[in-house]
Amino acid sequence: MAKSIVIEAKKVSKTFKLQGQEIQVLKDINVSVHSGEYVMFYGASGCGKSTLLNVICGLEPPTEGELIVRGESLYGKSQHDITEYRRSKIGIVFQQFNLLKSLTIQENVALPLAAGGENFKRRMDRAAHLLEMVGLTKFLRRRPPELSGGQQQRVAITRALATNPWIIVCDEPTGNLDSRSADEVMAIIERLNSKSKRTVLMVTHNPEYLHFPNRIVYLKDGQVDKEVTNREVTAEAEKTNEKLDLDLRDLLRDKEEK
Amino acid sequence: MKFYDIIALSWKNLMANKMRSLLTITGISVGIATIVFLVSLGYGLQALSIRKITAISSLTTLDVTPAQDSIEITDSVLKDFAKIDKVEKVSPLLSFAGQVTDADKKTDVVAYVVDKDYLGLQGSKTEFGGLFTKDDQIVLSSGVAKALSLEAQDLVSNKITFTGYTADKDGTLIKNEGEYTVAGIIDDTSSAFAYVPISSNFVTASTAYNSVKVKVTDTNALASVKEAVQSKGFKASSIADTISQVYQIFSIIQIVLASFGIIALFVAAIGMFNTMTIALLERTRDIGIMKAIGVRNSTVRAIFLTESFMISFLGGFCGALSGILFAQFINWVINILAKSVGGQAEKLFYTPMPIVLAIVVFSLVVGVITGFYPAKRASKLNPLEALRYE
Ligand SMILES: Nc1ncnc2c1ncn2[C@@H]1O[C@H](COP(=O)(O)OP(=O)(O)OP(=O)(O)O)[C@@H](O)[C@H]1O
Ligand SMILES: [Mg+2]
Repeated sequence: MAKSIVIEAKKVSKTFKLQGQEIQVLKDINVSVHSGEYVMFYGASGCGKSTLLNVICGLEPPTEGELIVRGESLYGKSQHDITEYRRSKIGIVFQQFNLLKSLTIQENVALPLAAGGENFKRRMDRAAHLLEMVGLTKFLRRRPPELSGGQQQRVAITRALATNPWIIVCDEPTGNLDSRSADEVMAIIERLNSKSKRTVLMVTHNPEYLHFPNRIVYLKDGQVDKEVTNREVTAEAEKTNEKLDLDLRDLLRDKEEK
Repeated sequence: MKFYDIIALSWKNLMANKMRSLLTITGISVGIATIVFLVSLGYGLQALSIRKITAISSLTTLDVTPAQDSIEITDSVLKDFAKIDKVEKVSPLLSFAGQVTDADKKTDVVAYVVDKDYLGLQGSKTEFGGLFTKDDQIVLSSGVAKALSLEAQDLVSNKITFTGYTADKDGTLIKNEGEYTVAGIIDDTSSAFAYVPISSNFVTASTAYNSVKVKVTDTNALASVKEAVQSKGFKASSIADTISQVYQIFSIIQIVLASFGIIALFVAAIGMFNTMTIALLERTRDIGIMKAIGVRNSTVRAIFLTESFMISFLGGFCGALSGILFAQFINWVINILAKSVGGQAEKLFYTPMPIVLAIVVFSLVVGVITGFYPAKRASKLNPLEALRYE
């Protein structure tokens, strides 16, 4: 059956100018991500993984080529629309957690909702609800520096889920974590894909996690080296992901079963 | 993002670095307090001087003197003046040398022969006792009491002897002596003078008075009466003229005082600009994070502007308040000192509320202007570069 493509990089190239010198970081990248799919980008340091994710997240316009999101060219849109895309259509998880230290955990998670004008009670309730699912209810009023790395990364994942986006983009989310916390975080993301049917784009260095995704895109020197498919996306996952407004009950259920 | 949420975020940012926010707010406060204090002092001194110069009735009074030696103020001239339209009262003054004798002590004084209205028209006030109402009463200055080595209040109601030396038309000296009761003392220790009622044989029909006070019905009549008097060959000036000069002088003093305050505020504004710029650098990463997760550029700018608005509002408010309180405090201290050396309590500071409001608004404007550039820079930051910032 024909898979529905949610994101498609078409001949994406990115060149940086550094002190008059041009560095080509991405060369002619063609990648499509299917609805409900878990795609992992794998490759040596400096091969352009983060740059590609940034292009996908609407943070870095490509020098050439196009990024098609559900049939529309993202960078053809206004700055305003691109910001709104980052806020509500994708959830980004960074290696450095990137939480605001002046806000509490709950406020951090509620921030993308506040940015969208959601009222105080509704967004704080949702933040509390999401934080409960990742087992952080006790820490609602704490500030990020008072939490362990693993806990902070779980907060960051929760924040990425706040607006109920259909794609979760993670750039080395385990890079700053010990192996146990890393496994926990990877398990949460795996469940996000398998139970909650989120499309997941993941960059990692760790070969142990290569069995998680549906598909692995190997990058080398800014080019797609090869693609390996572990297993096809199930038709059910694809269909569920089409419905944008999922809630996360499945993730919660999984937590309770444990 | 909702306006209320922007305010809440800005407030949290301020609270995130309490010490720095406090210092910046203090800086603005000091600038504003200085302006409020100095302007209050200017207004206070102005009001005080005007209070000292005048009583209300003297505002409608013209002081008339001959414009040249050949013209004299005689009884017929006084009658002439009284006939001018809108003139209410005419009250002449004659001054000559005299002596006051109390028991065995004697002192020279400058004597002013005036009628009962004159002192009221002049706006004179007695420190002890009152103005004279009868022909056998006299008003002295506290300088007389000093010369007689008496306490001013002890002199009130005393019977004294006054000797006046007036000159005749052809220059012969006429000595005139009489018993008077001291009705009141005017506070002026630096000079010895006496006000003597006019019907005391010091004047004749041909007496040339030194000056005359012409009271008009209301201030609007001042100009026309002044013109009429001048056309008869006399000089006429009113306290209203003096007061407008005082206002002029004080408006210059105000400007000078306010400039000092503005310099203080300018220094504070530079401090604030510095704070906002440092806050921008310090929060570069946070700005990157906010933008990356979908906070709009305009929201980021609004957060920074709100923050500088808050700083300048708090600074302006606290500054205005402490400026007023400090002025009151200094006034209190000065009055205590003044009273301890026998002086009078005075109101040295006067703070007009519209001016305070204007100063606070001014501080807000300064705040928003200094916050404008950092806010604009924050809104222009590239999120990825901001995230890379350490
Ligand atoms: N803004 C920039 N200006 C100049 N060069 C850049 C910029 N961003 C990235 N690069 C360069 O592009 C190349 C790819 O960077 P990128 O961060 O995408 O690599 P990566 O695959 O994510 O590496 P890692 O696994 O170490 O995170 C690197 O050589 C980097 O130096
Ligand atoms: Mg990277």
